[in-house]
Amino acid sequence: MKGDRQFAAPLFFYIKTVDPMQIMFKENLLALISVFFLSTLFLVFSSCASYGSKPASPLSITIRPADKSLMPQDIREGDTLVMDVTVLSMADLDRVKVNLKLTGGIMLVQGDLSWTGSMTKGESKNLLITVKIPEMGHGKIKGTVVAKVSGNIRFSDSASFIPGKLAKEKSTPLPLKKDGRGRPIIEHRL
Amino acid sequence: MKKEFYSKFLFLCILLLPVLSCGGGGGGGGIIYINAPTGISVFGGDGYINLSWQAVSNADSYKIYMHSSSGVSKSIYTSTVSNSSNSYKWSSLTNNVTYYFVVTSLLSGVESHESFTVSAKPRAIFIPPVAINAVADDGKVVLSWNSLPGLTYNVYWSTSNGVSKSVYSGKFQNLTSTLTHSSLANGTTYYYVITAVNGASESSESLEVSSTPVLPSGLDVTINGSAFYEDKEYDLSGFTAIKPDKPVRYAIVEVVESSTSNVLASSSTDFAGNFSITYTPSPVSAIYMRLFAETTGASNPPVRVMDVNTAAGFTVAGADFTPSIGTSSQVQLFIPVSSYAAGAFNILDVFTYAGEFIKSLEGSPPSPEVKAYWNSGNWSYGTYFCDTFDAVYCPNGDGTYILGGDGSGGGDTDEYDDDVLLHEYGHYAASLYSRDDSQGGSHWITDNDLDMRLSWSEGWCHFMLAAVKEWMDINHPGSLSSSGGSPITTYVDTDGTGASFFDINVPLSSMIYSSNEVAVANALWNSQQNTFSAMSGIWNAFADYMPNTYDADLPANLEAFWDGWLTTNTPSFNEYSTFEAAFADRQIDYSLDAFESDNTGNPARKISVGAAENHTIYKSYSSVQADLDYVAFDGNLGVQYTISTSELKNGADTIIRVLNSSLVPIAGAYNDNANGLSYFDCIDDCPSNDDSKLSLLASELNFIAPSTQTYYVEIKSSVTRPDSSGRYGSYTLRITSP
Repeated sequence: MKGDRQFAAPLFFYIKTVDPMQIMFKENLLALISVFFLSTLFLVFSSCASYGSKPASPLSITIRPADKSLMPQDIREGDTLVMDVTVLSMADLDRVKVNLKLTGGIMLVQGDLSWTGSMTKGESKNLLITVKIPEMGHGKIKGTVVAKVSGNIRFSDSASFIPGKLAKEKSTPLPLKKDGRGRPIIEHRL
Repeated sequence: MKKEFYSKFLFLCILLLPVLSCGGGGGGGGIIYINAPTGISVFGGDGYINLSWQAVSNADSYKIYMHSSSGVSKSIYTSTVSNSSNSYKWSSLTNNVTYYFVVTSLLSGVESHESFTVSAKPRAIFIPPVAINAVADDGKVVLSWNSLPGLTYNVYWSTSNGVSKSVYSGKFQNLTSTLTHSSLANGTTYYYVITAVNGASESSESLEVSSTPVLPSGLDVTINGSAFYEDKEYDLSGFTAIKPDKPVRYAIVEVVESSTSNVLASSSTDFAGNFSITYTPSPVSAIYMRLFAETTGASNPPVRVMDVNTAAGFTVAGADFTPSIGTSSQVQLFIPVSSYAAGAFNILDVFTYAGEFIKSLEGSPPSPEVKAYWNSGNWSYGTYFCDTFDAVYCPNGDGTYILGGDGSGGGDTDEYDDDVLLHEYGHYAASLYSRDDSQGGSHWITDNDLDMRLSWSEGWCHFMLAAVKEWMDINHPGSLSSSGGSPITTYVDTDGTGASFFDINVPLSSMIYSSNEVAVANALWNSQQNTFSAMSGIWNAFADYMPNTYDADLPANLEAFWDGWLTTNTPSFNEYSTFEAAFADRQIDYSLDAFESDNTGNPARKISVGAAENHTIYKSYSSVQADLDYVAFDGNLGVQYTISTSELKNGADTIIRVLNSSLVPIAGAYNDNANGLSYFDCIDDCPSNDDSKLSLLASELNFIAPSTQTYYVEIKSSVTRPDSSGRYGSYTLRITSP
C-alpha cells in the first residue's frame, strides 16, 4: 500500500455535506475562521482514514432565509420573509425542474413555486420567494429538484425548511442495556 | 520350663504325701485343690469379645461364665462354655452391650472358685462411611450411605468444596443412613462429608461428594417462533406503497427474564427467520424475546448493525409472557416500518445477502464482521465506508456509516435503499479482499475526469451491487426490494420524495473513460455477462491479483484490474476481445491504436506537420509491458516545431522527447508536463487529467531542427505521473510549425 491514506478534499467535503450554500454564502469572518479551523482539525484527524461514499447527486437544493443571519429559531409566527432556494448542478443538464411546496399554513406572498430550465456544470440557480409564516404552528417549505436525463438516469434532491424554534426536535435516546455477552445494546419494544 | 514344672510337682507330692494319694487321678476320696484363673483381659470387637488369662498349673480345662449384669458367678450366669486353653473368643454377641464374665479352672473335675469379674462391649470398627450416594433432584439432593448398627452419622455441607468438620455451611446430626437435603437452588453444586458418631466420639470425615440439583428432564421450556421485518419496496420513482414482510435471517435471539433482564438462553434464526430455543427455567418466570440486528457469524456472513452515537447494537424486544413447562410456546416477532429499528434489520438483511454472495465465490463468509453504524435523521454526512478511525466522520472506527438525513425534517435516509447499501458493501469487500487506494470524497457519476483510484473504487462498487442483485435474483427469487420495476443493474437512491437513479447497463453516451465510475462499472458488467468465467474471473483479479501480485508501488485502479484479469485468467484471444470490446464501448482505450505497431522508429510512416493523430498507450493481450509510440516527421533546418500532446484520456500522463534519424535523443528536446511541474509522489492533491487542466499533465516542447532530416517523437507514459493517473490511456499528438 502506497503511503498513508488521506482524505482528498476535506474542506470541500465539509462544505458539501454540512451545507454547501450555507458555507459558500457565509460572508462573515467568523465563519471563514471556523471553516479553516475545522478543516485543519480534519486534516490532523483524518491522516489515515479512507472514505468510500455513495455517488452524490449532481443536483442539490437548499432552502434558507435570504437574510443569511436568520436562523430557523429566529423566525416568529406571522413573520413575512424572503426565502432563498438555491439549486447547484455539477453536470450539464437539460430540463431541470424545481418544485416548492408550502404546507402547514405558510402562504406565498411573492415569487414562483416552480422553475424549469437548463443548467451547466458548476452553475447555481437562486429562486427567491416571499412567504408569510402562519400565526399558529410552524409550517414547512419543501423543495425538490429533478432532472430526468434519460429513461435510465434521473437526478434529484430534496430539502425542507421548518421555521420556528422547534424546527428540529431530537428524540430522547433509549437507555442502553447489555446483551448476553455484556455488550451495549439499544432495545426497541415492539 | 518343663524341668521346673516337674520339680515343683515332685515337691508338692512329697509335701502332701500324708493326705493325698499322689500319682494321679482317679477315684479316691483325697482333697484336690485348683486355683482360679488370674490376669484376665477382655477386648470387644464387632459382635464378639476376646478373653484371655494366665494359665493355671495343673488345670486341665476352664469354664467361662457370661452374664448380662455384673453379678455373674458359677451359679448366676446367662451362658457358660468350657475351654481347654487359656483364651476364648465369645462370638455372636450384640455390639455395644456390656457383657460380664468370670472364669474358673478345673482339675480332675474339681472346679476352682471364680476369677474376678471382667466386662466388655462388642463394638463395630469406628470409621466413617465409604460408600456414599448423592442423587440430584429438583431443588434437592438425596444422600445415602452404608450405615453400621449402633452408630449415628453427621452430614456437613457447603456450596464450596473443601468441606470438613470445621469448615461447612450447614450440618445435620443423628442420622442413620439417609438424608434428603431440600430447598436447594437448582444449578448450584453442593458438597458433602459424613462422619460416624459413637456416643461422644466422632470419626474423621468421609471423602467429599458433590451434587447439583436440577429439574428432571421433561420439564424444560421450548419456545418456537419466527422473526420478520417490514421492508420498503422501491422502483425508479422512489418507494412504492408495497411493504413486503421479509424473514430476519441468521439473527441472534435471546430469552430475557423480564424481572431481572438476565439472559436465560440464546439461539439464532434460520434462513426462513424461524427459531427454536429450549431452556430450563428456575423457577418459571415471565420472559420476553430479544432479536438482534446481528448475525451469528460462523458459517453465516457476520454483520452487526449499531447506533452510531453509542456503538450499541440494535435490538427489538417482544411482549412479556410466561412460558409453560413441558410444552412449547409460539412467538412471532414482527418489526413494522413504523418501528425505528426496522431500518436496522433491512441493513442486516442486505449486508447478509452480500456476504452470502461473497461466500459463493470464496467458499467461506467474509470475516471479520462488517459493522454498520446507522442513525437516521440526526446526522448530515450521508452514507460511506471507512476503513479506519476518523474523529469526525468515522468515530467508531472502520465500518459502513449509514447516517442520512439533513436534520431539518427532510433529506435523504438510506436504511431502505438497498442499492446504496450494496454499493457501500462493495467498499467493505475491496477493503477486505482487494486494494482500495481511493482517497474518497464526493464524486458525481457524470464526471469523466475522476482520480483513477476513485473511479475504480466507485465503479467496482456500482458493478458489485449489480452482481449481488443478479445473484440474489437467481438464487433467492423474490428477495430483491426493487423487484417491482427496477432493473438489477440500476442504482436507486431514494430521497424522501422521489429518487435519483442510473443504470450501469445503459449509461449515458457521455459517461466514458476509465476515469468515469459508471464507465468502469459498465465495462465490468458487460464483461461479466459475456466472458467465459463470468464473476469468478473478475473476482480472481480483484481478490487474488490486486492485493497479492500487483505492484505495491502502483495505485489500484482499472489498469491494475485489467493486468490482473489478463494474468489470473489467461483468457483466449476471443475472451480477451470480448472484454476489450466492453472497454472500447466506453472509450476505455486499452487497445491498439491505428498506427501500431510503432514501438520503434519507422521512417516509412510519418505525421504531417500541422496534422493531429490519436494514439493509445495500452496493455494488450500479448504485450508484457506498457506501450510506447514513435512518430516520424520531416524537419527542416532552422525551422521551429511545436510538439504537444493534448486531450489526455483514460488517465494518460505523457512524456515526450525528440530523436534524430539515428534514434539518438536530441539534447534538451524533451518535456514531461507543459507547465514544468512534476507531480511525482503526490498523495491527496494529485491532479486529474481534467479537461480544464490539460496543461498539468500534457506535454509540449518547442524544437528547432538542427538539420534537415527525419526526426522521431517518442511518446510514453511519464514515470513521474501522479497516483491519480495511470500507465495507459490515450492522447492526441500534434506537430505544428509557425
